[in-house]
Parts: sequence; structure tokens; C-alpha cells
Amino acid sequence: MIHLSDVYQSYATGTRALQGINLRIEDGEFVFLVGPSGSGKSTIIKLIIAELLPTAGRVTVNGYNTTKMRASEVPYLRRTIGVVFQDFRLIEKKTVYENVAFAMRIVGASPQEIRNRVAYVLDLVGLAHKARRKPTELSGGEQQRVSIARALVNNPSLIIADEPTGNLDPDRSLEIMMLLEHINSLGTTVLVVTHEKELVNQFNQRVVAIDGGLIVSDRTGGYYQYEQYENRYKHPGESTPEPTEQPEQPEQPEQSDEQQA
Amino acid sequence: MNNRHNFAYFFREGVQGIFTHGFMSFASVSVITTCLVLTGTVVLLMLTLTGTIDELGSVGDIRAYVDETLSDENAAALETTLRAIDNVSGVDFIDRARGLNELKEQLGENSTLLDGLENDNPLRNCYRVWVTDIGDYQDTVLAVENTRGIAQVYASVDAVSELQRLRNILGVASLTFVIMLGMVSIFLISNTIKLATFDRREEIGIMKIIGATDGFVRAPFFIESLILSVTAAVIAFVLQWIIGDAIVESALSSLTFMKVASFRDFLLPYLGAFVGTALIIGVLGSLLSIRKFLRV
Ligand SMILES: Nc1ncnc2c1ncn2[C@@H]1O[C@H](COP(=O)(O)OP(=O)(O)OP(=O)(O)O)[C@@H](O)[C@H]1O
Ligand SMILES: [Mg+2]
Repeated sequence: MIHLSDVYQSYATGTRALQGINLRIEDGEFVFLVGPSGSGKSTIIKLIIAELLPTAGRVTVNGYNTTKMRASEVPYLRRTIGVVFQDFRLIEKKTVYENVAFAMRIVGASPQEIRNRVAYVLDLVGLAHKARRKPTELSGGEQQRVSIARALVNNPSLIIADEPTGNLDPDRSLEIMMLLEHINSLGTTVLVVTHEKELVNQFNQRVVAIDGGLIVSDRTGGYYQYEQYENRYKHPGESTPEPTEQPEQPEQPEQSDEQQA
Repeated sequence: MNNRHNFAYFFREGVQGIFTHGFMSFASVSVITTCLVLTGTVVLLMLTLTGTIDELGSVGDIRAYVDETLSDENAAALETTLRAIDNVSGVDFIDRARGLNELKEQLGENSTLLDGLENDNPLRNCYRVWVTDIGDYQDTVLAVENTRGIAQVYASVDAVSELQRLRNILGVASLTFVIMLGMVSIFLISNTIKLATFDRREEIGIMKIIGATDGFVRAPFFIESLILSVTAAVIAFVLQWIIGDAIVESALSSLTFMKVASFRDFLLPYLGAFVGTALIIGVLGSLLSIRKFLRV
């Protein structure tokens, strides 16, 4: 379970990334977190894995209150979560296999378990044949899939994916999303950050939209409601009288720019 | 934490770290080795001096001559008094006849010079006195001098106190050596490890963000540091074996009365001390260095 209550986050630079977030995600849920670039999505993830502590408010994750826990407990919180980072965070000097195996070494798995399980998850993300490569020898999409394999390998109760399909072609993206949905159907809580409207709309799941550090929409079924919001508040000057009837039209080029970034 | 499966991994990573920063590793091993050999040699010199000083004490080189006015019986009776003195471990009465015999023996073929003196023995009755603790040598000599019936005392007070002074200086010197070179060693080791951690700070950040404990992150560096310092200890031990004796012998060869301590008599204590010191250096060196990058 994830519970953010009245969470504010300011960076040392003075940027107010989050300005009063209340969000509750129950065990077993599948949630998309959407919002424009710089809206605070990755900041929420950093708070969940206790990479950051909130400037104000309370963050509770899988029974750990990140503001009250001891430093020595942090690793144990993190082990309950598998994270696919936006920037992958793979260890460049280690092979693909070692990168994934590493997550299992941390929890003290036996060599036997490691061999079996790593082979399995690498196969799952379609990278079994590149196990001996280094991350720098892989394409962006391949690195992303290594990162996904590492997030899955310990069977965490919560998986968080920050733009897990940002570097993948549409077919691969759909495949990864379906994999995440499948994992969710087995009982794992899944939180996916994404820009990809088309992808989100293919799944009938809860969508939380954030903008300027605030949650602006939270409902089940499609990116659509969020876009409606964006049209109404982001661009008040432009007249888009019936956004409900033309959901695909506005700001399309801008969206794809962000995906590249 | 369940790390029993990870030892091989930690070890591999530790060894790799040593070669990644080959020069720093080499430098720290060299300095620790030098530190240990220097200290070891000074300690060997100290052992030599201690041996010599003890030797001097046990030679019984306090000679106490009995007043000539005392009869032979009274002179022999002094033995009890002398034995009662503090720190006296043994007393040997050398009466005039025995004294003459010993003198003859010393003179060897020239002993004929003394022929005929048996009937008109010019020597005095004399005691040879041994002490228990060479440290209180001077007090004991004084007490013997003050014994009624003892006319004159010969003792190598100066030689013994000189040696003791030398030993004390060496003691202070070796302690200074240990502390200074020890600090330099710890500094070097910790810098080697710091460099290794700095090199791998991103990696460490990733490890921590996916749930590694500090202990897990630290283990390879800890092992790296231990390997470096124990390697230094073993090299130092071999070096000490080869050159240590030579140094002590050449330094003392002119002083024939010295009882030269041999490294071979102290193999195990030396090995133990070297490895022990190296372990302390290694542990401190690595503890000092890795705190910084763990805060993620
Ligand atoms: N380490 C940091 N120091 C200072 N400001 C930061 C830092 N990280 C993020 N920010 C700022 O905080 C705000 C929110 O950033 P965040 O990374 O959460 O956005 P995001 O929603 O994940 O964006 P994107 O979709 O581009 O990844 C931005 O204005 C960003 O510039
Ligand atoms: Mg982000």
C-alpha cells in the first residue's frame, strides 16, 4: 500500500515539485500516473522509495513510514519495491546478467536460485541472448528491458515503472504493459508513469493525473479526462469548446516531443 | 543479513578493486611493508639489548671485597647478610685460595708468575653477587656497599645503565615509529579505498537504491583493504627474515659482548604481530573511507 498525505516537496534549488499531494494506492491495484514533463511524477517515485524525504507531509509505503523509519530500515523498504527507473540506473561495468543477478545477491539469494530466476526474467523481457553484454552495448529499449527484468527478479509486492516504454516501439510497449498487467493480475501492485496516451487508453485502469505538483484528476479508464483538464486549464486562451468530442486533436506534436526528451 | 552466499562475490569484487587502482594499491602495500620492517628491526634491536642487559645481570658481575681485618670465618658468615638484601638472587663466596686458583686459570700459561703465593696469599676474600631484577641494579649495588664488613664493591653500574638508557630510547623510538608509520599506512589505505569508492560512487548509488544494505556495499572494499594489508604483512615477514638479522648483526658486530637476538627465535610472535598490526591498519583504513558514499 502507498499512502501520500499532504505531501510537499521542495528541492534545494527552490523548485516546488509537489504542492500538497494526497494519494492512496491499495495493494493489488494497477495505476497509471500521468502528467506533463516537470509535473512531479518522478519526485513522487523518489518519495515512495525513500530516495527523498518529503519537505512536509507523510509517506507510507508497504507499512514503512519513510519520515519515521530508521536509516537501517530503508534497504528493507526498497526490497519490497521493484523500480524501473526513467534513466534505467544500470551498472555499466557489469553485464546484463550481473545487473539483474545483483538485485538477488543483495537479498542473499543462493547461486542456484539466482541462476534459475535471472535466466527466467531475462527470457521474459526477451533478452536472454544478450545476457553477457554490457549495458553500454545495448540500445535504449534493451536497457529499459534490463531495468524491467531487474525490477521483477525478486518478486516484489510493488512494482513502480517510470516511463518503462519511453524507448520502446509501440509493439514492444504494448507487450511490456501487458506483462505488467499480467504481473498485477497475480497480485502485485503496479504503478506506471507514462506520457503515452494511446497506450493508457488501451487499458481500462485507474489514471492519476498530476500537474504543477498537484493531482488534477483521479479516475478509472483512460487518459482522456486528464486531457480534458489540460485543455481547459493549461491553455485558457485557446478556445477548445468541446474537448470531449475531439479528444485526439490538440497538442499532439508537443506530446511526441516530450517522449523523445 | 544473509550474506553467506555472497562471500565469493565480495572477494572477487575486492580483488578487482586492487587491480583497478594498481598504483595506489602498490603504494599502500609498500608503505605498510616498510613500516612493519622498520618497526620489526627496531624491536629486534631492543630484544638484543634486553638480552644483553639480562646477561650482564646474570654474570654476577657485582664483586664485593671483604674488609681484610675480618677473619676468614667472619668473612664467610657475611653470606647470610648479603643474601638477605633485596633483589639479590644469589651469592657465591670466593675465599682467597679459590680466588688465586681462578686467577691462575685466567692467566693460563703465565700462571707460573703466581707460583709461591699460596702461602702468602695477597688476595682478599670476595663475594660474587647476582641480582634478580636488573632494573634495580644500582640500588642493590648500593645496599651491598653499605653492608658492614664489605670494604669495596666493583660493579658495571655504568655499562648497565647505559644499555638501559639505550633500550629506553629505542623503546620510545619504536613506539614513535609504530604510531607515525601506522598513521601513514592507515591514511594510504583509506585513500586507496576512497579512490575505489569514488570511482564506483554511481554503482554504489544504484546498489543502495535497489535495496543494498551498507554492509553489503562495504564488504568488497573491506576485503580489498584486508587483502592489501595482509599482503603487506606477509611481504614484511619475508623481508624481515631475509634482511632483519643482517641489519641487527652488522649494527652490533663491533660490540662482541652483545647477545644478538635472532629473528628466527621470534618467528611466530613476529608473524602474529605483523598480521595483527596489518589487520588493524586495514580495518581502520577501510572504515575511515567508505562512510561518505553510503548516504543515498
Ligand atoms: N534534483 C533536483 N533538484 C532540483 N530540482 C529538481 C530535481 N529533480 C527534479 N527537479 C524539478 O522538480 C520538478 C519535478 O520534477 P520531476 O522529475 O518530478 O518531473 P517529472 O514529472 O518526472 O517529469 P518528466 O516527465 O520529464 O520525467 C521539475 O520542475 C524539475 O525541474
Ligand atoms: Mg520523470
